[in-house]
Amino acid sequence: MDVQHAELLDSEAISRAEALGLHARYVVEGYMAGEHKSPYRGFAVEFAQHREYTHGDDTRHVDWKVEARTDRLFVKQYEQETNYVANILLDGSESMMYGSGDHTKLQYGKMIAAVLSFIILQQRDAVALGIFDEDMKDYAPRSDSRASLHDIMTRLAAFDGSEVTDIASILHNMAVQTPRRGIFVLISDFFDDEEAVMEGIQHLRFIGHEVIVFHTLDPYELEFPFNGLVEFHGLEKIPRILTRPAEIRHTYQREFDAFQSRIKEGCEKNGVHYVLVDTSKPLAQIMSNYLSFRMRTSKGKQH
Amino acid sequence: MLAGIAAVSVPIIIHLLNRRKFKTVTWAAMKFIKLSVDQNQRRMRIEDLILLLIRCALVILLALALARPASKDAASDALGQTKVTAFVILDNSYSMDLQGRDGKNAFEEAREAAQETLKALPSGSAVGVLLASDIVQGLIDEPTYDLNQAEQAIKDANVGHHATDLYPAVEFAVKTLKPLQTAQPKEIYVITDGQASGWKQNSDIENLIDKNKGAINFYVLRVGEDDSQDNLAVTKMDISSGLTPINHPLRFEVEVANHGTKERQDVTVDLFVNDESSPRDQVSIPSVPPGGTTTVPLFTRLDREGYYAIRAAFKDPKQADALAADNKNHLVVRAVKELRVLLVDGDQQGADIRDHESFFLQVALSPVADHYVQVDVKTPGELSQTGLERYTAVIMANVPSFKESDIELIQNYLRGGGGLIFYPGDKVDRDYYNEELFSRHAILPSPWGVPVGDPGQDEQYIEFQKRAFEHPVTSPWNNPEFGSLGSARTFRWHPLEEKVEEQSKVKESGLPRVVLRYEKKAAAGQEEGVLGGPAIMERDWGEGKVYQFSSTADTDWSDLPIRGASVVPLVYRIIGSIQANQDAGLNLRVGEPFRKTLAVHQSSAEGFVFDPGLSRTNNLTAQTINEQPVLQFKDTHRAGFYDFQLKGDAANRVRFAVQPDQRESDLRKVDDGDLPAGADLIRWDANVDFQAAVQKKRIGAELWLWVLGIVLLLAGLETFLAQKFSQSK
Repeated sequence: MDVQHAELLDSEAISRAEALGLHARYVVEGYMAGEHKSPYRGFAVEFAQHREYTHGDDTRHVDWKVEARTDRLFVKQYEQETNYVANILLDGSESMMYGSGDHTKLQYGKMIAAVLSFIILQQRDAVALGIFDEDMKDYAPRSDSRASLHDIMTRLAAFDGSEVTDIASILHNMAVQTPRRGIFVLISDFFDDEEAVMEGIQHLRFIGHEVIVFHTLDPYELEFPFNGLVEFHGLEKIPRILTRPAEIRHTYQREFDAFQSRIKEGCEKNGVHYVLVDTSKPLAQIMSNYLSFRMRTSKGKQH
Repeated sequence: MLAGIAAVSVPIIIHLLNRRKFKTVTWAAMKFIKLSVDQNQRRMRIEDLILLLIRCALVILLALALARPASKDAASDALGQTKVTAFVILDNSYSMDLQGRDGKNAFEEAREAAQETLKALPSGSAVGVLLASDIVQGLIDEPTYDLNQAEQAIKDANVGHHATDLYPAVEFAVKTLKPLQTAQPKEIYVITDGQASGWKQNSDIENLIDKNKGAINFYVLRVGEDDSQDNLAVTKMDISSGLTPINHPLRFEVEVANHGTKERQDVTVDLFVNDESSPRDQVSIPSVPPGGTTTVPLFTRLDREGYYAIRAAFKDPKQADALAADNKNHLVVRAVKELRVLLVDGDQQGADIRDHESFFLQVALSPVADHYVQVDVKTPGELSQTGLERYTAVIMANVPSFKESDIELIQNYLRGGGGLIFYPGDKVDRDYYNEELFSRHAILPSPWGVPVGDPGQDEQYIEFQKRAFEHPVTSPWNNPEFGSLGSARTFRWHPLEEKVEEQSKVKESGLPRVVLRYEKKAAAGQEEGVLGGPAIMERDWGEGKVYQFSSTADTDWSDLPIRGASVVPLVYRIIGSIQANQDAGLNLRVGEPFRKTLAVHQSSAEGFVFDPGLSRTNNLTAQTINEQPVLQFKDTHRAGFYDFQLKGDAANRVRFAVQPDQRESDLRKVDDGDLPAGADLIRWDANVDFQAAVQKKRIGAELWLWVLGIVLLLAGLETFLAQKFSQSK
């Protein structure tokens, strides 16, 4: 751990960061145990070039044939590794602060971000992390160093949530600032202007980025299970509303399903992977479902 | 009702309060809630309004149901009859005991009528039952919904031997019904034989009916024979001598009254002693005039000491009439071997014994040496050494004053049931008597006024009354054959105060009563003189009695002491009344309680009274009255003899007699037209459609059950709608 950096963080943030890292490792390794071939292996698998070995590189990637010839250590680099950077964008707006169970959506989003970072860095791919609301609130620049994992964890742990959100403008900015093709992972509840969000996604796609959407929702938002007289206090913009939820449940569910469908359909129309994240479900299950789906689709592409 | 409707605000308030009771949830997906609320708002408001209206209607209808609404128009019973709150007043005076031509007495008919009245009450009605005579006996004095209880009470009711006065019972019923906060109609049924004496307070009853017109319906149910019946009654019996010594002829005065319209001839009256079947004496009265009375003497001797039950009865009750209760009269006497009287003489100065204050009294009381009245004469100074409790009566004749210790002796003597007789005289310290014996200790019935008259002349005098004797001691003189007190002349006397209205502060002291009055001479052309102030007064003190004369015991101020025919019976009757008083009132009028005062250590004693009329034994437990344990029996509603004994003391059984109220023997009936105009009259007979007669006055059919039905329906609807509305939409 970077001592200087650690000094800037409070002890709670450190422990939270360590817990997050452990959790990410637990999710990944738990899944890998007993597998002959890990589905996590190889976001990018095509060989591209050699580069001289530096301290800390995985010895598995040392090209021993070249060493035999040249008596120098080179490691193999793969094409996608060198061409793709995973940009993880986590919505840190106030609406993400809601959580009916053990986690808020933001906490769950952080775990997704941490797991993905862990996996990607394990594969020697580069990760950049951005946490935003209406602006980019925190940004960890791209790095393929495993050591950067700790930095990512710390940033994630230290972030406490913000206020209003503007996903679209963030996406447009990122599209402009990241001309090189990469992967954009967007973790959000998308409680924003849907059309504008779609335009932002389209912008990323237009540039050639692959976009993966983790639509993060609380089970209560999906089911709306409240009874009696309830006053709802809005986390963003809309003030309080007093109502009997039972009497509007059907309408709410209908409207919410429509919203979710619109996001999903918009994603599919634009060739974006859409993953619905129900924060009451185990993270491992969601990640393995998605990654196995991704492996299948990438194999399909290879053939 | 208004309060109930005011309760309508309750659901509104609850509704508003409920809106203040809600959960708070911090929420992210607000726009979807807002969308949903916007889409449903109108519907939700309408649903809220519907529920609120239903709830308000529920409360209004519930209040309406509790007010027991009734429809005036509904003639049918389909809706259920209006319940009523009623009083059944059963006349149980002893005229109701009169047998009708069908062999049934009026009270049996009255009971049937009362049972029919209960049957005619709509189910759910409440009823109270009163027995009415000159007293009110509440069999059920608060209306009860338990009609079976009322039915049983009527079944168990008995005729008493009281006179009739229906007003107190009607007044009681009105006072109980009036304040009841109920919308139910109120009804009072008076079931009576229509004896005229019962409606003496007719105008008062009529006022009550008028005042409560519309609020209480009155019905008079007449039972028994319609026409007035003749009645011959033994209305009074008294022992004229006052005292009851053994082995001396005792004279009983028996009064026979003819309440009929025809003269009754050859009426034979027998005198019985105890349970003997053959009469001791018999007298035949040649004629008793219609509406008049005749008093006849009957004689007997009693041969040993103790209590005797004396009964005067018509020889042939059938010959008399069908009202059995007044065909006989009862008296209990205690025969004594001898009786001791103490004379305290305050003036023994003369050498001649005839000049002594007590001389004439002594001669009058005990004319011969072995007379059954034994007299001891003492000076006031000897009073403290004399045991007063040995004497039935103590006479203070011209005693100047008393020492404080003598007063205590006198008080204790009175507490033990003794009798004191005070005579004034020239030695008497009037101020002392008035301050100490009247004001302070309230022993004297009256203060002694400033003496009036001059004893030194014989022209100016006053006489005793010759008629209208009210006190039991002097009442025999109402019969001219008994002699007269009126011829005695009084030349000087202390005026006595008749109206001592305030009850004395001394608890043991009773109200003063006049025993004998003076009478002013008749003015020229008039037969009777005017009754004047008291000549003799008396009052109860403790368990004893105190008599006070206004003139002297010797002949200094009056010639009464030498008029043997007057003074002897008068003093004997006074002493006799003291003796009777000691026997705890063995001769009572109906309703007057029998009391047996016990010694202080007997506070846990128990006693029995056997009532032969009802073959019933009543248990008595001691109560404390004026710090003395007393056994009291109040249920003396039937005339006749009763036996009393202390538990475990069968040897000393005491018999006492209860006399019927002689006013009740007059069986004249009231005309229908003289009954209160505001009451509905129903003549009771087997064919009368009683139910129809009373129902037409009831308001109509009750609606509350229907209203309650609607309330239940609405409650069900409210539950259903509340459920339905709260389902997810």
